[in-house]
Amino acid sequence: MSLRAVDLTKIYLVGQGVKALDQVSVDFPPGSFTVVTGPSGCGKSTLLSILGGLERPTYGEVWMGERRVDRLGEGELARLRLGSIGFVFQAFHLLADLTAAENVAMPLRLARRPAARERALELLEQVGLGQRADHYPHQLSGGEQQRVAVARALANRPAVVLADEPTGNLDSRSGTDVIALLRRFNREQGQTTVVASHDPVLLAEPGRVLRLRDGRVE
Amino acid sequence: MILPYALRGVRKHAGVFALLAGTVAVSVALAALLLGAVSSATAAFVARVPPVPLPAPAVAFYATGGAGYAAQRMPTSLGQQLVVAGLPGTAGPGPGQVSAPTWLVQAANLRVGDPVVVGGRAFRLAATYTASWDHALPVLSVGRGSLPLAGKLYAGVDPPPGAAWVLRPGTGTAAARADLGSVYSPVDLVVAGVAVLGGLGVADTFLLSLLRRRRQLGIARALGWETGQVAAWLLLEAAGMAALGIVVGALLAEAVAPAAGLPRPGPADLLVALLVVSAALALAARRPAAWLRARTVSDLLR
Repeated sequence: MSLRAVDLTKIYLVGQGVKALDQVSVDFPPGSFTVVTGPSGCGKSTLLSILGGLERPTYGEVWMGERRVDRLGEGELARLRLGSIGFVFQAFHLLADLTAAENVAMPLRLARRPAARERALELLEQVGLGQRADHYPHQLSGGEQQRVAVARALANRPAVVLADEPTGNLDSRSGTDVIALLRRFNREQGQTTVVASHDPVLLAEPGRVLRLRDGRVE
Repeated sequence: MILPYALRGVRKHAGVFALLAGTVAVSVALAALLLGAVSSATAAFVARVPPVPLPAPAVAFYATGGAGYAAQRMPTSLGQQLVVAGLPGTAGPGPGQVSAPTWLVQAANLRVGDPVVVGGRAFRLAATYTASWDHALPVLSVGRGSLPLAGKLYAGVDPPPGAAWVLRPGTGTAAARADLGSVYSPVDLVVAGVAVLGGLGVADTFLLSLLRRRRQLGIARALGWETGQVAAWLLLEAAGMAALGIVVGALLAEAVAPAAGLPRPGPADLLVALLVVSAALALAARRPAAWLRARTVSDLLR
């Protein structure tokens, strides 16, 4: 599914007001793999949050296919996140009370998909963690946790995958693994993938790079 | 879908719960001390009340419009005597009949159908009722710490063994005092105080768990939980904790109350506990619900 931002502007009302995004218009074609980069504070995270419906733009529009999503109600937005968007965060954000398999199965159960556990195990197998299914997050290394997070993001076969600094908390080897996973899923399953990162490994690879500076596209 | 996560939360936070249980135990101990103080103060007060001559002959239950008070001195296992009040509304079922608390009937070794002498007149015991923490007991509780009460109120008018006095309401201080006791006894106030403290504890735990897990809530929301589902999750979890607390509290009370000379908890107590906890949860959930709604998922994850 294509993902499109039109004139996105986000102003945070802190002190005199900070313009995190300034009229950003960008089109992510279906199945594309885009890296959004730029110095910290350039608006990468804000862009991804707004694209994924985690917050709303001050001005501008977000389109997912033919659907305008920045005006959806909270309930509809939640269902959109559940069914159509997969998130990967810098800090992994696994639920600490749940095992790896339960973390992956959670969106499946929420969406009332049958055989949630089987599908979760299959996904963990695909990210190379079949043996760690019943481990809790604190028993896993950072790289393993992030791979669980990738598996969870893909659980409901989303049309869009948004990864915000997915390698930011990882050593370079684990980071490379996670990037390879995101690339592989993008190639094999065709999710429109947007990765915010300033990881040189990611930037060196072929593909589209979108550079942001002070909330504008360079 | 939500229930398993809530149960897991209850399990996970058993540590917090233990802390809470400790706090409750301390408050119960404090309440018991307070109760002791209040009850000796009451005893001192009651001891100064001048003796009241009884209106005699007394009136049968049914004739008082169903709001009679039976008073009887009963030897307890400790060799003390108690003043017992009848339950308003459960008065004699018909002319020539009386009803009495089950424990009283058992203590007097009576059976339904047995003849009973009340106020010098013969009645038949028609029914018994269970009085654990009902209208009968506030009068008892006034008398508990101040057993001379019986002697004061009924000085010189001792009923024969196995017999009971029946008073018409509103005649003399004795009846008035019994009436007052049935509405607000100091024990009730202390119990209410403890219940309110417990409710505050529940509310507090709920708020704490919310703030401590702000990020977890953000994750759930990012993954597609709706605000209502998140709220239901937290409420279920809090309700689970509260239910656990009520069960543990009831068991503790069951074990400790007799030794402390307090009445054992009855169904009414559990009902009160449930009401207080539900009210506390409902109140505690209002602000967080608004708080949760006012925040974007990004805010929660930050």
